[in-house]
Amino acid sequence: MNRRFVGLIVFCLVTSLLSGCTMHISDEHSLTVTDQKGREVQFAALPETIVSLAPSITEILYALELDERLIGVTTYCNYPEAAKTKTKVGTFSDPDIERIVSLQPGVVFASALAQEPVDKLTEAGISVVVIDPQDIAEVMDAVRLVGRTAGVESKAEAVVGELQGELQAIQAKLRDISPEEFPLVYYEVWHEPIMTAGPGTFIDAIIEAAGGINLAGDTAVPWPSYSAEAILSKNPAYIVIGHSGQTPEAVLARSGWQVTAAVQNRRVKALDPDIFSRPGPRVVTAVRLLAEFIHSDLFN
Amino acid sequence: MAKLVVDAAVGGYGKHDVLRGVTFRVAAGEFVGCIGPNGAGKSTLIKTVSGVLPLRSGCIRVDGVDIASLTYQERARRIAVVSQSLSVGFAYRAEDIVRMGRYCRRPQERQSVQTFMEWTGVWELRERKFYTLSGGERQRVLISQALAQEAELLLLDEPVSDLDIFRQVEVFELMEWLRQKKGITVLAILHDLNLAALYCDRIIAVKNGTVYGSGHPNQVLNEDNLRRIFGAETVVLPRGDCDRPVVLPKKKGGKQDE
Amino acid sequence: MLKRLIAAVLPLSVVIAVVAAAVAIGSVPITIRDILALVGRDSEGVTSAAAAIILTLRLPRIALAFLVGASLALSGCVLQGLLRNPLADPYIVGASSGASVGAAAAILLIGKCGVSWQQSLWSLGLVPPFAFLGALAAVLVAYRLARNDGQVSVIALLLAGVALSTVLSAILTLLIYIGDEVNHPLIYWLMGSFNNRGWRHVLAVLPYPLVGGCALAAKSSVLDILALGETKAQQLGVDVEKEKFRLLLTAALLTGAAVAVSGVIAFTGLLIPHVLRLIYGPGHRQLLVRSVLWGGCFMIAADTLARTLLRPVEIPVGIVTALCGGPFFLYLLRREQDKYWGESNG
Repeated sequence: MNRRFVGLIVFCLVTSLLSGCTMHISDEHSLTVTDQKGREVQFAALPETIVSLAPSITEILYALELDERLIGVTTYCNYPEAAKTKTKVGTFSDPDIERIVSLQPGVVFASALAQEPVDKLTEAGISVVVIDPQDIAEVMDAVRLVGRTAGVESKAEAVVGELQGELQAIQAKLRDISPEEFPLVYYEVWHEPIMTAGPGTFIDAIIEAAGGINLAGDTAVPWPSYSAEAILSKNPAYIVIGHSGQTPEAVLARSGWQVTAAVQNRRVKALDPDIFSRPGPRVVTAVRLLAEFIHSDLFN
Repeated sequence: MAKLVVDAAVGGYGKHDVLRGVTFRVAAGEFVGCIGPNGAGKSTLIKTVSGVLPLRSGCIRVDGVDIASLTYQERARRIAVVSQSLSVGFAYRAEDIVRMGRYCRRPQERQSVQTFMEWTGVWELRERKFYTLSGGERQRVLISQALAQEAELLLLDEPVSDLDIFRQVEVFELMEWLRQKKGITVLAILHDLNLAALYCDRIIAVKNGTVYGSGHPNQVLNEDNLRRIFGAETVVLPRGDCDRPVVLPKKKGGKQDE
Repeated sequence: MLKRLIAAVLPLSVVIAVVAAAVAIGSVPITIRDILALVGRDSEGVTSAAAAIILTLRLPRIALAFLVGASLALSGCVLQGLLRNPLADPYIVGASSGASVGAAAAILLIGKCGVSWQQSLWSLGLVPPFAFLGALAAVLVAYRLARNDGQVSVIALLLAGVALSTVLSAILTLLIYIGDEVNHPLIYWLMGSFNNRGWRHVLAVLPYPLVGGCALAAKSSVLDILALGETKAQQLGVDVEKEKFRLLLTAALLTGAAVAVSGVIAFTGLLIPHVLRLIYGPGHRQLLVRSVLWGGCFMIAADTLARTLLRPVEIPVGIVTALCGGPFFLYLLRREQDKYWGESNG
């Protein structure tokens, strides 16, 4: 009877210890996150494998060194180079639901552009976290959110700290100039027909952060087809070509445009449109490149 | 020289031959009537002679010239056609329609078409839109259009079918006048056998794509011929007022009133 | 005599008024003083921006709109006469869609050579011929499809045009997918715009309406006669097949040039000749000339609206013409059915 009693106690101890361990583990990794669309997503365990449904999100994942856990990306995810080798699961607006489900990822990070796929994936039992930053500050939140979901919060904080540090350095240099003296910047999204970025877009936010005034900042629509006349009469000081449709030389040769300060001073530059339109970590690179262009005296 | 010579004409629409060897002549100044059952090929004959439909074999000559060797314009100067009816998609006026007949007479296109319209009594209708005119008025406008071409050979495809008896006679009198004063030759498809009998110098009977017979109305229009041509029973009587026959349809079954 | 004088002067004065208004109105206000100063070479009172805007953007834009409007109206006039149908126009018969496919192919090919197609007059000038070929092919197909026993019926024509436009739009979309980097411009073909056009564009398109206009100058009688049907036209001395082909060629040329330089602008070819026919009658001698004049003015007015309604944002001019022309087309369809359906059946 003693042996049995001891055995029972040992059994109880062991099981309680073990169960305590598992409870301890699940306590550590079960979590609830609120995504950037206000949805609450619950995770029973740490999502080991990740699928990204937007190029910006892929960039965030690489910045957080989560690339080993990344098992699916969109066809447009082209940065960094290594991302191109990952399995493709469709586009951000039209992902291949079956493919994603067959991969059984721990979490899918989607952009706000795809509501239907989000619903379909959720129905299929896949956890979906929507990443939808509306401005630069929310990009930082997005990095933190991804970090929290994936269990790499400290890394996320480090990345955010770096990015914010860079931003603040730029802002510091800009403090010497009063906002009235910010130069007028015309950012061209496409040339035929003329399309630029209005208020509420990322490009608009980047221009502002870089110490410039968006020429199209007064329109009511986010992607206006701006009248060439109006552009000329507003006389932008800097022109950014955010597309590959025309070289800066061709832009300089546009009839009538020589009346702008930008063309007269040959301040026309082509910048990578990807970094200007993706709400990811490179948005700070965009701010820096633009600031270096429009405030070259400040940024050597 | 004959005005119009049709020699073993074989032709029709595509592969289907409607004309199967038609041969006849029309002398200058003659008024020839063409009769025959529906589908015999009369309208096709008109289209072929006017050059709209090509011949598979055979030859058609006007003034000794093969019409196939002429341009459309040259043909239109020699041959004018009055069709049964015309659908005009736009609001052209009567005068516009007649003026179109002058196209082949470029550069005298701009000349007044008043004369031609007065001949058929439609000059006062010149400002009216063509599609608002009655069937009879339209036919007279079309006759004016053909006359405006100043062609010496006139082809008529049932030109008086929509006209009342007064107008019918008017048109035929006009044809008479044109023959005598202008030397115009007329070949007309007619369903009204009595009008044909009264006015035509000769009658050609067309059946099954060939010429069944031709000759003076007195010769062609008799009960036997009409039975063979049309498959209809008729009574042919001499007219009281001139040496031409008059054709009366016979009622089927039942006795005739004496 | 006085009436004739007025009749001659009135349209010209309207053109001048429309052009003057178009020069003055815009997202950038230009005052009469600015214009006069420019004309009088006294450039002190005028800002250089205003001068640049008038000379390099607004004037060529107005000139281009006139040429394109005139071309489309002429093309519509010819197609209506040729197809014996007041509902024909380059858009409806698929010619505009054909032209856009042709132009898209040209842009793609030019892009493959590493050149931006608007870069020079040379590259810009390559596009209209391709557009012309596309328009011609489309018109020939629609005509063959709709023809039955020498008659072109309303319904067959509309069906042929719709079917063609659908197929061609699909091809265009395919070209867009294939084109990857160069694809954006192709989308603009579907909307039509005169934004950011300069004198280079005017020069690139100018030969075509001039050639087309000259070709049509002597054809007014032919177009009138064609209204009577092909058989009757032949009997009146018209070489129908030859004239038909020439007229189709001219219509395609005009449409191709217009689309090549400004994209697909709907309904102008339908609206203008038809309204003019209702007011002034169907005689082509006056109809062709009036189509040029009023087609041009209409396009200038539409373009002025397109660039000022939501200033400084520009609406594609094709939307303005479609909003005017679309309802009108529906109304016409209803009316013409009654008027002409019974006639052609008679």
